[in-house]
Amino acid sequence: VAIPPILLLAGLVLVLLARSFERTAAARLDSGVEAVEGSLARMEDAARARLAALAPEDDGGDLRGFAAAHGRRLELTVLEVVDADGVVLSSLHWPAGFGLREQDRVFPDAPRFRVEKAAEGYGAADRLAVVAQRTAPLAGREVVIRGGSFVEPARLEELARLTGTAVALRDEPAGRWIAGEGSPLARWSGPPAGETTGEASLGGERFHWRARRLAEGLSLVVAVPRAAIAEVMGGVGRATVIASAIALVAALLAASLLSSRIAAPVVEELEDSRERVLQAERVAAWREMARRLAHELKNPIFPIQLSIETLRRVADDDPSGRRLAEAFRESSVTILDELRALRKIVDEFSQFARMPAPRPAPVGVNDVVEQALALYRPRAAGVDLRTELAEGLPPVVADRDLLARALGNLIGNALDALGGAGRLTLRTGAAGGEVRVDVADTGPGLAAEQRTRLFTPYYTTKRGGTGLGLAIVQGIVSDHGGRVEVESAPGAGTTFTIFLPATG
Amino acid sequence: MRASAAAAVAAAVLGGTLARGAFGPRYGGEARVVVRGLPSTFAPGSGRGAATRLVGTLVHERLVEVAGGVAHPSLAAALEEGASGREWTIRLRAGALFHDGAPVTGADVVRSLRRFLRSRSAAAARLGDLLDGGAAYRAAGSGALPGVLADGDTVVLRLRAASALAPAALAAPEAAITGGRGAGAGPFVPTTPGPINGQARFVAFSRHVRGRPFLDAVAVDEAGAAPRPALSPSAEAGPLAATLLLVLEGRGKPAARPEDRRRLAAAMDGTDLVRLFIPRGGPSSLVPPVLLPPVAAPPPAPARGIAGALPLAVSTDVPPAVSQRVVALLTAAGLQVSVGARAPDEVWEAPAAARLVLFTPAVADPLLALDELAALAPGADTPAARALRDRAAVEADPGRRAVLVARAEAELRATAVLVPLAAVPVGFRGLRGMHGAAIDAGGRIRLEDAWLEP
Repeated sequence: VAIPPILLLAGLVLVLLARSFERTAAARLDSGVEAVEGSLARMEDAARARLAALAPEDDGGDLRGFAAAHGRRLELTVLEVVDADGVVLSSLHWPAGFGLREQDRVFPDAPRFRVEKAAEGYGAADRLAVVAQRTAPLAGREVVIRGGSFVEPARLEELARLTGTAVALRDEPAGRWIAGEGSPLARWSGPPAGETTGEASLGGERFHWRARRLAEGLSLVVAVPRAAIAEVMGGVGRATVIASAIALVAALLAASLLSSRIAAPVVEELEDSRERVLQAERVAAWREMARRLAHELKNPIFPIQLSIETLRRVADDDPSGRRLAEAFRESSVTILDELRALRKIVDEFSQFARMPAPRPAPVGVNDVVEQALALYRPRAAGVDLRTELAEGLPPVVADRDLLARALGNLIGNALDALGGAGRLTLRTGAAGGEVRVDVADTGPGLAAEQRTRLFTPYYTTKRGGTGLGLAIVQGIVSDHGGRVEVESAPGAGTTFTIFLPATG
Repeated sequence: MRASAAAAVAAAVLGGTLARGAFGPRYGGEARVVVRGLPSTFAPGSGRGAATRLVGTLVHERLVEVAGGVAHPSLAAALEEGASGREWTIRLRAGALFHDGAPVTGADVVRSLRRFLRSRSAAAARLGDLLDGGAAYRAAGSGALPGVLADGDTVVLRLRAASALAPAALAAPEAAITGGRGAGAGPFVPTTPGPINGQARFVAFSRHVRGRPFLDAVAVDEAGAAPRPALSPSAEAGPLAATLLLVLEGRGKPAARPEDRRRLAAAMDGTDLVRLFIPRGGPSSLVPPVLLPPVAAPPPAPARGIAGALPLAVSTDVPPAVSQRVVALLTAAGLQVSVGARAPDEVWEAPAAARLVLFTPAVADPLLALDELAALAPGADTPAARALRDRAAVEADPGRRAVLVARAEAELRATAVLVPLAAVPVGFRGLRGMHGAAIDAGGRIRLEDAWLEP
C-alpha cells in the first residue's frame, strides 16, 4: 500500500529536481560573477590604498630605480612612473621600457583596467592589471604614478575552484582569454556579441555561461558545466530514491508492528479459548476419573454392604445363632475379598498419582527382566514361562526399580490374559542402538479398537482392572527415553515390546 | 708546471680573495659549473654554446691556442714557419697522452685534421682553402690530402699560398686532437660518453701533458638542477669576449628589404642598451672588442613605416633583461615581436625572421670570426666581403691585414643583416673559495689551473 505513494513522491521530487537544476545553475553563475567582481573591486581598493601610502621623495632626477624600490615595499606587482608624454621614467614590471613610450592598452570607460606591457622571459607580455593612479611632482616635473596588481590566472582559477565554476576574462581586442591553466573557456572563441547568457559546447562538454561587461572590449565570463550540476542533481535524486526505499522499509515495518498490535487481542482470545478447551478437557478428565473411581469403588462396596445386611438379617431371623456362624464365615470371606480389591484400587491410583522421579544408572536389561519375572513366577502356575535373553547386551541407563515395575505390569497383564494356560515368553535383544524387551503371550489377543485405546488411562479390558497399568508402563518407558509398541491380533496372542536407548 | 695559465687568462675574477689565494694551489675538491645547453656528446666541436666550449676545454687539447691575435703552441711544442710562409711544421709535445693511455702521434694529428676539414667549421673552410689540396678534400670528403703530412711526432702543413692564418685555424674547437678510439687529451676525463640526465662529470687526468689539474673533478650541470654552490655564467664579469648581435635574416617581412633592416638597425639604441642593461659592456663591431676595435654606434633614429610581425629567436645565453630591452626597442619601432628562446647551439638554425645572439667566436681571431659569422648568416655575406676576407687571409703584412679585416667587417655589416648591438663581457661567477679559474680570449672558462680552498 505504501509503495505507490512513495513512488509518486519520488517522481514528484525528480520533477522538482529538474526545475531546481536550472535554478542551481543560475545561482552558481551568480556566485562566480560576484566572486570575481568582488575580487577585482578589492584589488582596486588595495591599489588605491597602497598608492596613497606612497610618499615619493625627489631624488634629484634619476627615477629608474624608483618603481622597483617602492613597488616591492608596497607589495605591488604593477608600479610605473610616466611623464606627461607617456614616457616610462621608471617601471617595476617592465624595466625594459625605461625611456620609451609606454606600450599599454587602456579601457577609456574603465580606467581601473589596463593591459600593461610586462617583462616575461626574454621578451614582454601584455598583461591585464587592475590599477589606480595619481599625479605627483618628481624630478622637477609632474608625473603620473600608476600602481596595482596583475590579474593572475592562478587567482581566477582559485575563484573558479571556490565557486565550482569556470572563470575567465575575455580581452576582445586581443582575442584572448585571461584564465587559469586548463580552463575550458580558454578553448572557446568567446560569447556571441550582445549576448549575456547561454549555453555552449566547450571541449566536448556543455556549459551554461554568463558574461558580464567590465569595460569596452573586456568581459567577465563565468561558466558552469551541465555535467557538474547534473551530478549534484543526480546525487540528490539518488538520495531521494534511497530515502524512498528507506521510507518503504519503514512503512513495511510500521505495518507489521501495527498488524501485530491489532492481531494481539485475537491471538489472546484464541489462546484463552484454547485454555478454556484444555480446562474443559481437564474437568472432563477429572469427571471421567471420578466416574471411574466411583465405579471401581462401587463394585466392592456393594458386596460388602450386601454381606453385612445378610449377617444382620440372619442374626434377626436365627436367634439360635446356628446359621449365623455359617453366614458370618461366608460373609466375612466376601468382605475380605472386596476389601482386598479396594486396597488394590487404591494402590494403583496411588502409584499413578505419585510416580517417583527416575534415578537412572547403567543397568543390564536381562537382570531387570529376571528381577521382574521373579515376582510373578508364583502366579505363573500352568503357564509355560520362557525366557530368551540375548547375551552381551549393552547396558541401558534406567531406574532399575521403575523399569522392573513396568516389566512387572506387562508380565502381570500377560498372566491375566493367559488365565493359567498358554505360554509367556520374555525375550531381549539389541538393534539400531536400542535394547528391546518383548513380553509375548499366547492369550486371546486384542482387537484393533482395543489396541488404539490400550495406553489410555483408565481404559481396561479386564474385569476389576483400573486401566492404569499400561499407562504407568508407558509413563516409565517414556521417562527413560524409550517407547512401547504392541503387536496383537484376536486369537494370535499379544506382544508388548519396550525399546530403550542403549549406551556405549 | 702550470705555465699556460698566464697565457690563457684575459680576465678572471671568481670567488675568493688574493689573500686567501696566497696560501697557494692545493690538490683536491670538485668544482660544479651550471650551464645551459649541455652538448649531447663530448666529441670535439659538437656545438656553439658556452657549455660545449667548456666541455671542449676540459676534455680536449688542440695543437694551438690563439690569444692576442697570435697562435700559441698547446699540444704542439713548437710551430715553425718555412718555405716563405707556405709551410708550417708542428712538433708535438713529448709524452703527450690520450685519456686511454695511448701516446699522441703525428698519425693521430693527421686523422684529427682530416676530420676537422670535413666539418662545417668556418675555420676548417678557411684552412681548406689555404691547404694544398684542401679544397678538393673538403669537396670530396675523403681522399688524398697532400697539404698535411706526418712523420713521427712532426706534422707539416703545406699551403697553396703563404698565410699566417693557417695555424690560428687549428685553434678551432673542431680541430681538437683525438686518439684512434676517440679519446681526448685534455686535463679532465669524462666519466661517461655523454651527459646523463643533464649532468656530466669529469675527473682529473693525472697524465695530462701539462700535469695533473689541481681539482679532483668537475661537475657540469644543466641549469635548473637542485641549487648548490656552483660557477654560473655571468655577463657582468670577464673580458668583452662576446658580441650581442641582432640578426635580421632577410627572409620574410619586415626584415626582407635592406632599407628596412637599416632603419631597424638605426632604431636600436645600443648606447642606451649598454648603459642601462649591460654593466661593463660597451660598443662593438661584429666581433668582440678583444678582436676588433669597436664601432661607435650612431645616434638612434626613430624607425617609422615599419610594421608587421617579427618572430625573434633569442639565444638563452643572452641576459633576459637585455633581450627584453631589445624586444621593447623593436616593439617601439612598430613591430609585433614574438619571442622564442633557443639554446645557443640551436638559435642559428631556428625558424625565425630575426635572432638575438651572443656571438663568441670559435677562434679568437678577427678574420676567422668574420668567416664564422658569414657562414652563420649567409645573407650578410657579399662577394666584396668575401674577397676582402680572402685577401686578408693571405696578407703577410699585419697592418695591411688588419685594414682588410676591418673593411671586410664593415662590408658584412653594411647589409644590416648582422646588427652589432653591444660588446658583452663573458664570465662566470660564484663558488666562493675557488682560485685560478680563468676566462680566455675566446670566452671559454679554463679550470685547468683552478683550485679550491680546503
